[in-house]
Amino acid sequence: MREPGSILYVEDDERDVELTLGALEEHHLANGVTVVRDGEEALDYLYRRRGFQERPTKDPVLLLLDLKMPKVDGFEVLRQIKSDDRLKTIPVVVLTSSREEKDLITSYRLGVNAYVVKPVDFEQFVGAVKDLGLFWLVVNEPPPPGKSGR
Amino acid sequence: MSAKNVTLDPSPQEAPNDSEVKYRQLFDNLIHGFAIQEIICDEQGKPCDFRILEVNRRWEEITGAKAEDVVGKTAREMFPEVEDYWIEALGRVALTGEPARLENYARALGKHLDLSVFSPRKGQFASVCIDVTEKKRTVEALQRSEARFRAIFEGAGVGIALVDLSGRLQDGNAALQNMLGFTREELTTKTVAEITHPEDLEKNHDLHQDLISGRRDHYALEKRYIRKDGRTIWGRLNVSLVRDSTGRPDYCVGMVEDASERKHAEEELHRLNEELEQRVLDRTAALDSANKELSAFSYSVSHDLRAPLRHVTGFVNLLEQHAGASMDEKARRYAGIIADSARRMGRLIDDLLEFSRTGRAELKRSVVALAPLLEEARRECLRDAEGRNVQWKIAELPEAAGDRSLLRLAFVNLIANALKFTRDRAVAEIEVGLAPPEEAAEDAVVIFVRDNGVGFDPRYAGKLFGIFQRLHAAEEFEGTGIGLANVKRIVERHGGRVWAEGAVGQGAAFYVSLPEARGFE
Repeated sequence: MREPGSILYVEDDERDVELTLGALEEHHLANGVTVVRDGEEALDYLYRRRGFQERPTKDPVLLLLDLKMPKVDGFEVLRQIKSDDRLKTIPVVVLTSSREEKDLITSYRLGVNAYVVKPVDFEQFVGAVKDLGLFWLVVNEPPPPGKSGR
Repeated sequence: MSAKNVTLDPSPQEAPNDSEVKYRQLFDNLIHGFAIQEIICDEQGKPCDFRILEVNRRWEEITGAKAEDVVGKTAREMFPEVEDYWIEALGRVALTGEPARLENYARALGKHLDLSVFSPRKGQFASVCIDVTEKKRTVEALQRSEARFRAIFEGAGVGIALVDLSGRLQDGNAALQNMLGFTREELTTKTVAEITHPEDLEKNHDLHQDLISGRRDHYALEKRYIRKDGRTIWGRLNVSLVRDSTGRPDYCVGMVEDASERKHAEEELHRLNEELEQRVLDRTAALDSANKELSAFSYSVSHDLRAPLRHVTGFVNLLEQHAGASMDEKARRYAGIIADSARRMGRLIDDLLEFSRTGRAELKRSVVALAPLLEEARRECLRDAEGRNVQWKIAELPEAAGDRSLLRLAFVNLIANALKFTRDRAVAEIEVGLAPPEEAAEDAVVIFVRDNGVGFDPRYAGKLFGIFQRLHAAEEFEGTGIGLANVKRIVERHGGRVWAEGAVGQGAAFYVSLPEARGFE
């Protein structure tokens, strides 16, 4: 098993954060998860702005992104990442409550790598979080570091 | 030539000379009646009768009396009804010698006579007599006709104008005066052009030229008139040409109906139509915005209501993990109920959202082959029937016109329903087939889905398709009560109908009628 890289988890709902982290912990995937509370913070983190100048140099290997957030929403974060040559190679997984068709369409148009609807059922929720953590952190081969996606 | 036994001269000669023969011929062949008479006076010297001395042939014809019967007789002897005014007037000529022209009625003859009377010698008078009875009658008939037409002209409800060929008004009746606000005297100083709206002049002029040049014998036109007070009114004009006896155009008769009210009504109708259109636009906009609001609402339901539910189930689960060992049976049961209720609510929200989507989604109609559609629906439902013994009986199905994805959803609901309510049967039998169309809708395809499940009480058949209506307890058969409501909504959006037959313990059959594919472009 490769050393799992870090996850940037963008979520404004602290209870969801707790449940998600709990699920990841259960499967020993919670190490190196950084949680930010809205889209603005996510972008600040990625661009090392404001409070995040001191963050680890390595970019996260996965972005877990909620859509509906205060200030800057998930779509805007997605749009900026996918139009930035350095960041566009980071896999982004939308993790949301919405199964609205238009949210799915918008996300895929903006270049999302996966779209997961948070199940209401806890067992299913834990299963989903575990699966996506394992897939993106363990099964999937990430892009080589330092190479742009162009 | 017959010699008559009468004397023309009181001093007769034995042999008539040439001039007398000529006179005789003239006398007898004159086209007017001619007679010579002698006046008879009473003791006061006042004319009271006259004696007929000589008459010609035409006189005989006019009076109907023969010369041999009347010559030598007096007027009163021959014609007892003779009026005094004849005798007075004729007597005056005979006595004064002044010629006269008399026209009057002769009752004895039933005729109107025109007499030129002169006195050839004192006491006598000669009369040239013309029968004017026929002429008199013609004139009277003409006068009656004139009066009749004048009455019609004046009394007509529509405006009537007589216009000469140059366009000048010769006369205008009361209705026209009323319509235009001019007196008759004012009207007859006007030309048609002067009372016509400038924008209608050319059209009117062209038609008038067509009329007098013989290209048409009448014309009709809706035009605007300018009243004396300057107001504009609409009139419907009908014009005919009158020709003289030689066939040349003489003058025009125009009839004008006041069309202002009708024009107003038309304009009002036009305005109302526009208003209605605007209202439809407004209403559509309002509906659009309501729809958008509804979309926003269901979006927020989908997003915001699910999160707390997830937390309930999540944290109940965490609670069980952390405190499970120290919880007693009751506490564990409560935790189970909390988790179960949250799950149920999650399903309700999902179903409700789907129901709202089936109502809002735009219908994308096409020709849909029902057989493969049903097979897809069946496969999707089979996942929930693993390990069960289900006997399927599926007839050949035709095509229908409709939105494929919505129809698919409807059949998924119907089949899932059939599977659910046959769950406790050892062998579930589910049949899908084609029913004969209803009488009222022969151009529809009617599909039924029949099962041998628990059925339902037909008294509640009407409730089956209502949203959140359930005929079974939640413990018996899970479900939110939205599936059949969805079916109904989808089918009705296609213009079809749903109904159900069944009895408790004897299975159920659900029917849907859909527009047939034929006729769908």
